[in-house]
Formats: sequence, structure tokens, C-alpha cells
Amino acid sequence: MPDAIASLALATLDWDLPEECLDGVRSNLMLLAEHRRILEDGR
Amino acid sequence: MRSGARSALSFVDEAIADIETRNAALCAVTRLLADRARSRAGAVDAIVAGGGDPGPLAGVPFGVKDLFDVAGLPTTAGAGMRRDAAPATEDAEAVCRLEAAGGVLVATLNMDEYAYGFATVNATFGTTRNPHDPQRLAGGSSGGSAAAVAAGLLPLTLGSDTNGSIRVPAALCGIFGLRPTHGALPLGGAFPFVDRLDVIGPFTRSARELDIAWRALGGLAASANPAPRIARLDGWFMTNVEPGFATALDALDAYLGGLPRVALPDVARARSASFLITAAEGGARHLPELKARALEFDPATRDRLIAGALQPAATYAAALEFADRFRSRVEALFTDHDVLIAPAVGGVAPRIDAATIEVDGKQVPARANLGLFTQPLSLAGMPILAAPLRWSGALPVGVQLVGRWGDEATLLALAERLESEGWLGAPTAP
Repeated sequence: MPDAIASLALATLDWDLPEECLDGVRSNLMLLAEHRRILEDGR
Repeated sequence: MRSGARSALSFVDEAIADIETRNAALCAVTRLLADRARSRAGAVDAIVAGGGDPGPLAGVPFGVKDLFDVAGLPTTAGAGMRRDAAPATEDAEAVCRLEAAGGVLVATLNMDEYAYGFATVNATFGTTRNPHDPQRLAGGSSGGSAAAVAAGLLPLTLGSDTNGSIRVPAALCGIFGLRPTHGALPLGGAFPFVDRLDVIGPFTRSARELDIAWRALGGLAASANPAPRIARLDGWFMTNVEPGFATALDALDAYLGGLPRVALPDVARARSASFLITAAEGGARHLPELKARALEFDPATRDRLIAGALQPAATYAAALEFADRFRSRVEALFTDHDVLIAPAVGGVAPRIDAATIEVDGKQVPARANLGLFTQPLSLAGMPILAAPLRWSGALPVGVQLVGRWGDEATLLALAERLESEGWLGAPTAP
């Protein structure tokens, strides 16, 4: 998701993610987005 | 042992000595419970000396994955941050049942942190080695449980399976493992991961031992179908399989009379639904610790859980809705068939120093993708037995036998038959 929206989501959760996590979380969000696409499209 | 010819204490002492000698090279056992085990073995021997019957597991040493409660010890669930957690006040229900049947708990066993992985590469407790080749993964997340049995350290262990965490390590280590019907065995005292998918189950070196363990755990002792109608899962389950393994599956198929092929619709969506449900539930479960103690997690687990916690509710709801439809479709296959056969993993254990597998021509991380064939089937909740297929390769490969809801008996009987006929069997680790 765009960084601005991600920041808003984290702020809503009152969550200040440590710097060390950002790259790993970003790549896992991309992976989950791919699975969400497969769930929706079937391919 | 039940005849008194050999004591439970002698079996337990032998297992303890074996673990003390050989575990350092395997990293399968995390805690050796020598005092407790010797005390319990003494109690079993006293029953025999008094003319009683201690049960079908009399004196059998067993171990449990690090997510089962053991009275007096913290339940780590493979997490370094839980090493100082409050000790469990009582044993998990499954441990109680095995000890009520005469078994003796000897050890706790390594796993991926919070059961989130197919590798048993643990930043705190180490990497469990495959007994058939210590340079290779044992699989996960119940890797310690599978490696301990495959190496001959213990004849019986317990694990848990959410997306394949019994079936993947059973296949890679070349032993038998049972994922029972969802809800068939009690989860009391087992650290949870994903309520929708979690089950617990046993590992052994033979189908007969698996049956004994299943019954001792309180599994349904129903009659097996003596002539099950068997089919082979097609499509998704016929690709991404190593050629030699595919040939061995074809040979088993021919031996069974040429199996009808069954296409399971929407397998890719089922895998994605399992992936998303797991991420969302896992992330939600660990959210307080992720917010307060993120850097104490295993990084490989932490970043997956955080991403899961950030999933939209709409995605989780859609995945659950799909899961209900998928279960109905799988149930419909059992109108015409009693057992479905599929590979458990597409090939042999990946190397630890290059922990990737090939999927659709691309190299992808083993930790997240070894469940390619197990993860979609978890969503349906049916019982699945993982068994080592005899083949020409040097390292083990495994198959899944998928049964009708509640029909573990037919799977166990079929596995026992195929083992006696030479098609299934646990290879001996060097």
C-alpha cells in the first residue's frame, strides 16, 4: 500500500514500527497483496 | 515391557543417553526432561510389578513440540522472548493422554518461532538438521519432532499442523505423520496459532505405530474401509514435482490399478486463502507483543506477523468465506472416492545454505513455500496422513493420503497395507 496510507494505518494502531522491520514488512505486504489478488481473481 | 522382560526405566535411560550423545549435531531436542522421565518410568514399572497393565504405550519414550504445555516449564512456542514466561501449571491434554497410556515424556522439541514457517530455522534455539543429510532442512514447523523420530532418538513425538507443519517435516525426514480431522483431538495446553486451521498429531516410523499413537491420543477407533476407492489429485498436484518422484508416484498409481484423476477446483485460491487467514490471525494474536517487543522476535517471523496484522478485515472475511465454499467442494469429492493421493512436498529437503525451492520456474524461499501441496488441503479440514514413499532417490520424499472427514481409520489401514507391500516405509538415516 502507498507509504502515506501505511503510515495512517500504523498511526491508527498507535504503532511506531522499528526501522529494522520496514524492509521485511514491506516485502511481506507485497506477498500478501499477491495472495489477495489470487484469492480475488483465481489465478 | 508389559510382560516385565524389560523395564520402562531401561528404555527411558537408553533414550536419554542417545539424546545426550547425538542431539548436538541435530538440534532436535530443546529440553531433556531426565528427572521427570525417570520418575514416570519408575511409576510404569511399579504398575507392571504389581500385576497391572500400564497401557498400550507402556514405557515408550516420547517428545513434544515446544508449544505443548509441560508442567513446571515455560511454553516457549519456539520464541526466545518466552524463555522466561510463567511456567505451565499442568501438562497439555495430549501429554496427559499419552502418559495415561503408559508413555513417558522425555523431551521438548525444536520448531519455527510461533510455528510460522516450514523450515525449523530458529534464531534462538537453532536450526534442526535433517537426519538423512545434516546440510539439509528437516522441514517445519514441527522439525524437531520429525527429526527426533527419523534419527531414532525417540519412537514417538507430537507436533502441530496449521498449513503443513506435520506433513512437510514428515515428508522431508522420511517418517509417518498424521494431521487428524480438524477438531478431532484436544488442543488444551497447546500454544495456538490459527484457530481455523490448527490441529495436533503424532509422528512415528511406521503406520502401525501411528495407529497406536492415534488411539492413545483418543482418536476415533472406527472401522476402516477395507477396499477404499482411491483417486489421485490432478492439476496443481501434478506440477512442481521432481521428475524422479513423479515417476515413483506413477508407479504407485499403476500398482493400485491405474487411479482415476480428480481435479480439485480453485486450489490456487485455497492456498492463498490459507496464507491470508494465517497471516491475519497470527498477526492479530501476537499484536500486543509485536507493538511492545518487536525486536525480540525472530526477524523472519516478526515481519510476516506484522504484515499479517496490517491486513484489511475485508480480506480476512473474504478468505473465510472462500474457505467454507472450498470445504464443501472437497467434501463432494468423497461421494465417489474414499482416499485421495497427492505429493506432500514436490521433492527432497532443500539445503540449509540455499533454502529455496523451484515453483513454476522461479526460486522462492523454502520457509514460506514448502507447503505448496499441504497448505490448500489444510483449508478443508479433512484428515491427512503423510507417509514416506519408497523410491530410487537418496533422500526421502513423502505422499499425502487425504481422507473423508473423521475417517482416519481408512487412511491408517491403507498406509499399513502399502507399507507391508513395500510401497511406503521409513528409510534408515545414516
